[in-house]
Amino acid sequence: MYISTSNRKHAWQDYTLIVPTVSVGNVGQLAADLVISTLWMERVGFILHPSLLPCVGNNPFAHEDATSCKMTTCCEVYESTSTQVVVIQQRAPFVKGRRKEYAQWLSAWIKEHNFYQVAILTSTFAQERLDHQLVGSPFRILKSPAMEARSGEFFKTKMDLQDLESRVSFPAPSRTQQEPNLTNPESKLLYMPGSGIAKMLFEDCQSLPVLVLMMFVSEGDNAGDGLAIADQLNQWLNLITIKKEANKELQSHHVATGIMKWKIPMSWKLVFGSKFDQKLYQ
Amino acid sequence: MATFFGEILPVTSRAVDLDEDEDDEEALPIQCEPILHWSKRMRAELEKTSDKKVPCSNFVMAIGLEANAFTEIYVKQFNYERVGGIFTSLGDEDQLTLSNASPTDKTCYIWRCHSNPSILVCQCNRHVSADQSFQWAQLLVDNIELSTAYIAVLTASDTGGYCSEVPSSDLDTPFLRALKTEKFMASPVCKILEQPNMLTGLPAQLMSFFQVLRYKAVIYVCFKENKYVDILDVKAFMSILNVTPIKDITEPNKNAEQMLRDIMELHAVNDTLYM
Repeated sequence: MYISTSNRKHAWQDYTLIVPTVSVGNVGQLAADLVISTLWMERVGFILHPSLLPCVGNNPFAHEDATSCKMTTCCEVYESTSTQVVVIQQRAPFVKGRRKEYAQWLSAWIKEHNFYQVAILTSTFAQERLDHQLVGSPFRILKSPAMEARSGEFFKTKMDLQDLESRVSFPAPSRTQQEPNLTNPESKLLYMPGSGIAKMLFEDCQSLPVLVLMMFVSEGDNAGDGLAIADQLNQWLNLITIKKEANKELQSHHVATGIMKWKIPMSWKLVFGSKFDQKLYQ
Repeated sequence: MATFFGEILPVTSRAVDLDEDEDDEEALPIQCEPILHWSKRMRAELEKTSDKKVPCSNFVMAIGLEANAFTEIYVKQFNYERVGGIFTSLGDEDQLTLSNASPTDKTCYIWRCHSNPSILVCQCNRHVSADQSFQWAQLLVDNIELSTAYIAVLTASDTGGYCSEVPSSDLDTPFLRALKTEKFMASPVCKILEQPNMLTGLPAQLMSFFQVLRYKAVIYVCFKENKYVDILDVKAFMSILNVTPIKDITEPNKNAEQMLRDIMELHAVNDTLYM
């Protein structure tokens, strides 16, 4: 169920909804974290659902030195009125076997709130890339018919984003089995393993303008992937203006140029656990 | 999956389960739903109320051995009556005595103060799995009127999962950390749990409910090193005796030391590490 933090009625018909799904490397969540912290988004509601595993912590977007407590739960809705964006941040995986229930509830919730458009951020296993997918951009998109009509060639020409290649079936059939099917669009499947509920949401929300923005990733320290997908999202939605470094010399020293434009939340520190005692290696 | 440190984990991803992509929603382990059961007397009393909810002004929820030992010795000072329990499935190794009265038993009972019936204490020694915690918390808020109550949740956690700038070998254990809901105005007696640490399982689910439903709740977590219950870990909670909501419902216990030793002895039977 969705519980608003205030009694104000949401009017989100001009807003873009960003839904990161819990997927391999949690790339969507990381990107959402960046958007929320950079835009100083306000928490406007909670999602309490039996399909979500519980977790609580202190405010992940607080200042480093803050000592106050603003408790955060496993699934929250954030809003930015100035940029007209709503983000659903989910911080825990699903109870085993209850994903479907949540996906159905969420798509109903999305439809009910009449968003202008919906962006689903997700990722899929890099090891599942086919030979012809190996070279080039790690990003892929999927568009609902309404989004297709609205955006035209924008994603292809302006952002150089390619549609996800559909597959005939899985496991891959032999070449001879494939031949007759290749021309038949009915037999094509969306194959996006490790993307969580992204596919279910996309299929349920076909009537809305939906864009799925996905990335091929592997588990590890996925902060860089999170930044990359946030950059892609920014190219489309113009959430923030990218500061250009004036000094060219400085630029060459920074490998990660441009990272400074996103505000990295405090919760990203100590990804690999506590600091260790340096004396161990003396 | 090989991680950054080179250890091999049996999963391909922390975030998603590879099997789940095959839509095998039927292959779920069978679990019984948590059940709340009130005593005969309580049921008779509830019959007379309009909303079938137990009135409550102060609620203490103890989860785990340390919190339970502390609650038993320092919080439940006056005469308390057992009014109900919340039951979940038991594991094969879970112990229960015939009378269900030993502190080592895997039980979960709700107690009510004789002299002030609006004080309720819930002692949960049972393991409540994270996927059952939603139904568990729902049962609690559906059956006890907590909207005006002061709520304290006590639990303990391992320092193993605790992240900080200080190396874990230099941590001064045991120590307390707290989190509170927006409506809980008082400041907790110890530090707030630092990012990026978080709580999971039943304590997290309860706090989520309390936050979302706008209840006044605080959680105190004792971070401890010992696997088995230890006097120091239990005493780590001592400082909360002086703050809301615990301070209003307790008084000093003269037999505390003896009771502590008794409980430790009971639990020591299970500690076979050095036998």
